[in-house]
Amino acid sequence: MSQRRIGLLLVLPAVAVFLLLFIAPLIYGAWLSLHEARFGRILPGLTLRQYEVLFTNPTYTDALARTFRLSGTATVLALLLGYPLAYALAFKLKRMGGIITIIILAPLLMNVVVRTLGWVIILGRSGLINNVSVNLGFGEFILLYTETAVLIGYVQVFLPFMVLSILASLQTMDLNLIKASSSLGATPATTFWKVLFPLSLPGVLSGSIIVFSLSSGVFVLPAMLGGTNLRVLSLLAYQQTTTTLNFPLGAAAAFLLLTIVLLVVLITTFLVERTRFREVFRRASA
Amino acid sequence: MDVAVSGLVRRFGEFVAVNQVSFQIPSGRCLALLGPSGCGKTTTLNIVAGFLHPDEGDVHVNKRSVLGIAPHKRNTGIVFQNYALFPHMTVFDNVAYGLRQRKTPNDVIAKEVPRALELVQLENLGHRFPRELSGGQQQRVALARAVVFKPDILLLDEPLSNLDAKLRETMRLELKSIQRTTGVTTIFVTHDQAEAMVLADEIAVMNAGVVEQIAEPEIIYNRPATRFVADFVGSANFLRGEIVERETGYAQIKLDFADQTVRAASPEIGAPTGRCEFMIRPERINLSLAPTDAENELEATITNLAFTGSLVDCYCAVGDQSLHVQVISSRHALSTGQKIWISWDAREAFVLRDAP
Repeated sequence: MSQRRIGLLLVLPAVAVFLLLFIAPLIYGAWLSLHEARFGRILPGLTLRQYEVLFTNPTYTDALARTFRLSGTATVLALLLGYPLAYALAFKLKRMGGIITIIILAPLLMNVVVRTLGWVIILGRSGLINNVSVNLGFGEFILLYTETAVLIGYVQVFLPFMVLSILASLQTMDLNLIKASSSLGATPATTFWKVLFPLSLPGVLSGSIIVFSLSSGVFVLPAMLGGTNLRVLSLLAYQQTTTTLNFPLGAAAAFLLLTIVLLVVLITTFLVERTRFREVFRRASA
Repeated sequence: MDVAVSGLVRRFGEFVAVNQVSFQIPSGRCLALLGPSGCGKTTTLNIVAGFLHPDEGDVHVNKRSVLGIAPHKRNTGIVFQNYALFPHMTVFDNVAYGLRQRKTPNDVIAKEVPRALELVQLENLGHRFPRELSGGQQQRVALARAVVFKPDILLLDEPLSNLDAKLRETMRLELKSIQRTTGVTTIFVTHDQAEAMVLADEIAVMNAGVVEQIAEPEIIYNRPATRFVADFVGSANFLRGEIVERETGYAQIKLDFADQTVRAASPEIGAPTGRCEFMIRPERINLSLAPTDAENELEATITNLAFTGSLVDCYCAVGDQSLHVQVISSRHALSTGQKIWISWDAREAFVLRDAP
């Protein structure tokens, strides 16, 4: 058997699983979204009715806007918090790196519902923060069921992805580049902005894409921390599919989400790679 | 700018990487730190660059200590072993980097960068990215980047070790001419003795953190102070004996392996009396097929021959002492087991400082 044949044979199981479990539902979802349903039954005939609802009904347009406002803000926050952390881990705290990495990864090891309930307890009306605040005489804050609460949840859960992604690009950095920049007369700040940061952009970009796409897709977190008023698109898709049994609308919402995330990712990647930093990415992919 | 390094000590935990290293370089000259890996040469370079702080000792540039000065304020040009070119910048921007940090006006940069690129013969490649250059070209860019801002000192860390053998030889000469043209005081680190010989005005041979000898290349080769230096730079025969008589600059030595007394050059001061070891280079030994009346003549038997083209490596035995003799290939028709007579001029043999 030729090497090529063996190679094809080896990827076959994975490809089969992928087609069956990922591509097939996707195609079915797309097809479903072009229909109407009544009492849980799919009606024959293709229509764009569901998409019309998504783009005109204020519930859905609000959810759409909120989804991307929250995901975008979460991405920026994760970046602002994650970059210094990754930087410190890569260059300043090498000895404590193992422990800190475990601490960062710990949230991922815990069930999402349990973890989110923790936030409900901390942020709630009579939760930890308000207890302390009231006792100190600062009064009560409304935290739970606000966008702030959802953002806190997002950032906590998705920060590790950002940190690990940036860390990977910083750790593979040639330290002689930093020495070279310094020997050429650049201050540490200049070295950071002219050399280190541009060269870590692949990590920043992949981290941002991961955080953005994951946070626009979750529904447990916004459901528990945002309550009933702060609905995001993923949550609506979930509700339509499991409670209202309007499968076509749920499928359309899911499809719209997927399309927009893909577009955002593609456009961002394209824009960043087109700039003067394109050389960095060429090197990264080489 | 003249550079003076005095009594440098640097430890890493228990390990003493650099132990009492001192040297001076007059302005515009080039010193090579030569030694095997782990001998402390790169640590020394890092201390001079300011990336490492010594535990003891001082570094003076133009009579002024630079120890308290951060690397980016030192005006030091460095060429790294892997070149460390900024991959996201063009050749032009790489070379201009040092000038821009010095707030050089753009019109000056527009003149200086092409001039530096011309110096390394890359005048047309300013718009390229490092990735698009060959190893040799990257090396030249690194050099242009390090000299364009007229540094006080130029430091080269194994600058040619990543190039293939042919290119290395050309670059060696080119590097030398660039160093002479720019007149910048240079320290470079290498484990390649030929590189050190060609490039440096003076060589400091280092071993286990200690400078074994600092001298001009010819002296390092002809008058090595220690067995390590003789062995590391070129190849050498080491012969042992007993000094029986001393005269000005020479010693009479009774050999251990033959019932014979020979003469060898010997350092004036601090030379050992009694037991001694002296070295002689393989190509400095004369070989003849019949006894002559030359001084220091020994009868030997050829044990092995290796033809290397222009030269023949002839290994022979005198008693139980093995000797390596190098002769020009066409002169002799030699064969294994043959009896030969070897001799040397007393000036070519040299008593080593470290007694056996």
